[in-house]
This record gives sequence, structure tokens and C-alpha cells, in this order.
Amino acid sequence: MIDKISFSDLVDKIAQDTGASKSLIHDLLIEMADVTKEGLERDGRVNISGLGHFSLKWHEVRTGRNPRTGEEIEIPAHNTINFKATSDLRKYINREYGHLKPEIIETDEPELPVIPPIPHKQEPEPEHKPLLDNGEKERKSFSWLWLIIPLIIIVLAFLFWPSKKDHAPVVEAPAQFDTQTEDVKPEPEKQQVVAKEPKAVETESIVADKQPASSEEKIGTPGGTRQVQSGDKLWTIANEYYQQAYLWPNIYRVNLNRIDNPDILSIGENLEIPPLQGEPGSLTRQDRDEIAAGFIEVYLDYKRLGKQEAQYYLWVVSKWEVQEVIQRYKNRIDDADLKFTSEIDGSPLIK
Amino acid sequence: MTNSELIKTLSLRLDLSQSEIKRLLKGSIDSIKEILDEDTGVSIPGFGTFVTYVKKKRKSFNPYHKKFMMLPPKRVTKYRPSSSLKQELKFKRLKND
Repeated sequence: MIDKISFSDLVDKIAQDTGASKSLIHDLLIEMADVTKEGLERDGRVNISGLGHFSLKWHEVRTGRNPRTGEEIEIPAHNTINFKATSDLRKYINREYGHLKPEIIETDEPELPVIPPIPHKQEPEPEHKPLLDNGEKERKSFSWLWLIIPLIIIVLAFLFWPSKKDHAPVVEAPAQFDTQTEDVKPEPEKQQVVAKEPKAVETESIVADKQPASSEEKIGTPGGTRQVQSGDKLWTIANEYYQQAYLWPNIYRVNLNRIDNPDILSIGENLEIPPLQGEPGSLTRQDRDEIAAGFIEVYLDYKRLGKQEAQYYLWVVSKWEVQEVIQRYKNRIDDADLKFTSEIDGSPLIK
Repeated sequence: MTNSELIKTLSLRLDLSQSEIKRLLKGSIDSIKEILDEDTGVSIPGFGTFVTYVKKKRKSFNPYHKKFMMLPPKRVTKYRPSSSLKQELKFKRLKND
């Protein structure tokens, strides 16, 4: 049972707190009640600062039932007096519990929504290998299963989705680009931006291409400027100028201030196409450094955009013997991603 | 009726300045607040009773997220109008209603 302070005690306390006489406080409270009543009669609402808001609510006539006898009775139309405390008072009274927040109760599907997102976020690598290597075997078998299933789905999606949808060759022969770029039609519904799918990570051929010995020929590949047209993607432009779509990060590198997201080009934008000292098949040392820098820029941007592929661009660079370029970007590259690239041998795309 | 109207009316009736009424009213409400915080009810004749109580934590359905939520316990203030006030206002129909 709740204790209740008597009215005279209340008056005593208030008189003590405010320094006013008891009779004055007594009158004040009685008058306050009276004025409140008048206010409710007149306006239907009374606001008392610091305490709350009193309001009258009118209820129309309705039929109810006597709970004891079940007999129907008519409840006449009447008023009720409602009170809503000010937020100050509410917060003050509730301060003990104020920090608590409602919590979601998982009743129906307890495992599915809870467990998979956690490994998915913490371990962005869609690979089983690092998990096994890190000694994750000790984990309980069921949670291990939940880790692996989404990872397999991601790996499968990663392998099949880009190659089917965008005709972007996953690895294999560079010759594929020539035929496949012609297949790509400009998408009519995209009026302002052209999506570009930079799936053209031509990892194996890059590794094969870096023969500094062949750079003496000095034929070179001319650059230029190019206005973006509908249907253009960075890799189609790269294919046009360099005859190799996978070199698109090199174009991206010099147009960083014109392109926000490497997947999206604005129509009408003038892109600078950097020249190459060698041919795409015989890149010079400097070419490779520049292209590597381009790949790292793509990695950084994809990382910023939260794209899964980001680390594969870094992985490409790590296979290139361009340590000084990596050193240059050292403080911007995530150590975990660098570690990831060193743990993989062979293409992560063909697994 | 706004707070300033209330203060104005009280100052006329008690023959005190509005600022004094304001100070006393604020002091009274602060004292009431303190008393309420000690889990003690406050009742003012002709006005009603204020009490606080703790609502237990409860399960509720959030229609937006379509999930069941456990709402935390909460301490609230409750007002119960005095029977005289209730009776006087029970069948008063406001003009604009």
C-alpha cells in the first residue's frame, strides 16, 4: 500500500521549502484546485507548468454490462479528467529506469536472423580458408555451420553473378574482352548515370604480363580525353584505349576527382585517359606502378562503399611485386585486408 | 487555461504579485515532486491524488518491426481526481464539444 502524506504535512513541507506562511500555502493549494476546476469547466484543459496537463474527455453514452449479473446497462455520457505529466516530471520520476530500452524478443526464428549476420560482418572474407587457419575449429560445431553456409552462398554468388549478368570475364583469357564488350548494350532506362560493373579483374594475365625486359620496345599506348556516353563503363573505355578491359583502374586513378563511385559514370563527363609507356602486353615498370596505384584506389573506394570485392583488388596488387606502391598507401590500407591477400594463393575468384 | 492565466487568477484571488505566486507555485510543485519521488502519495483536497508506481516490464508487439518487444519497467505518475471534482465536472458539456 502506498503511503500518503497528509495535507497538513504537505503544507508544512511546502511552507518550509518556500519560506512562506502555512496559511498562505494552504490557501494557494485550495485556490489552485478551485481555479483548475474553473479552467476545466471553461476550456476543458488546464496546463500547470512543471506538473502537467489536465484535460476533460467526453465519453458518449454507451451500453455496458454489469460484470456481476451480466445485465445490460446504459452508461450515460460523461466526462473523465485526464492527466499527463510534463516530460520533466516523467523523466525525474522514471530516472531509475530511464536508460532501459525495449528489446526485441526472438520467439519464432531464434537462430536464423541472429547468428548469420554476426560472422558476415566481422569476417568479410567469403573464404573458408582463413577461418580454418585462424584456429576457429574449436568453435562449437553448430555455430561453425552457421558461419560456413552464408559464406558458401556468398562465394557462389560472387562466382556466378557477375559473369552471367555483366559479361565481365572472371579470369581466363584477355581476348574475351574484345568480343564481349560489343555485346554490352547501353541500358536505356539509365538516363543520367551509367552503371559500370568492374568485374574485370584480370589477375592472372597481369601477373604474366609484367616482363620488364620487353619494355625496351617503347611503342607506347596513347591516352587522350573521352566524353562519357550512354552505355560507357570504365572497363569498356579501357578496352577501347588499351585493348584490355582489366586496366580500367588506371583510368580511374587519374579521374578520382571526377568519379565518386567507380561503378557509376556521369554522362557527358570528360575523362582523362592516361597514356601507357608500353603496350598492354608489355607494360613498363612505371606503367605497372601506376596501374597498381589505380587498383589500390579502387580498393580504397570499394572499401569505403562497403563492397565485398574491395580486397580482391588489393590482392591483385599484392601479386605484382610493387611493394613501394603498397608502402605508399600503407597507412590507408586495412592491415586485415593485407593479411588476407597474403593468405591466398591462386585466384580467390576461381575456387 | 494556460499556466499564465492560472497565475494571473491566483494572484487576483490571493492578492499577491504574479511573480510571487509563480515562485510559490513552483516551490509547491517541486516539493510535491520530491514527495512523489519518495514513493509517497500526495493528495490535495478538492483536486485529487498523485501517486507514483512502477509498471512492470511487459511484452508487446511492435507493428512496425513486426516483432515482439520486451518493454522495460517504468515508473510513472498517476493522478486520480478527487470525487468532488469528478462529480462536478462529470456531466458538464463544453460549448465547443
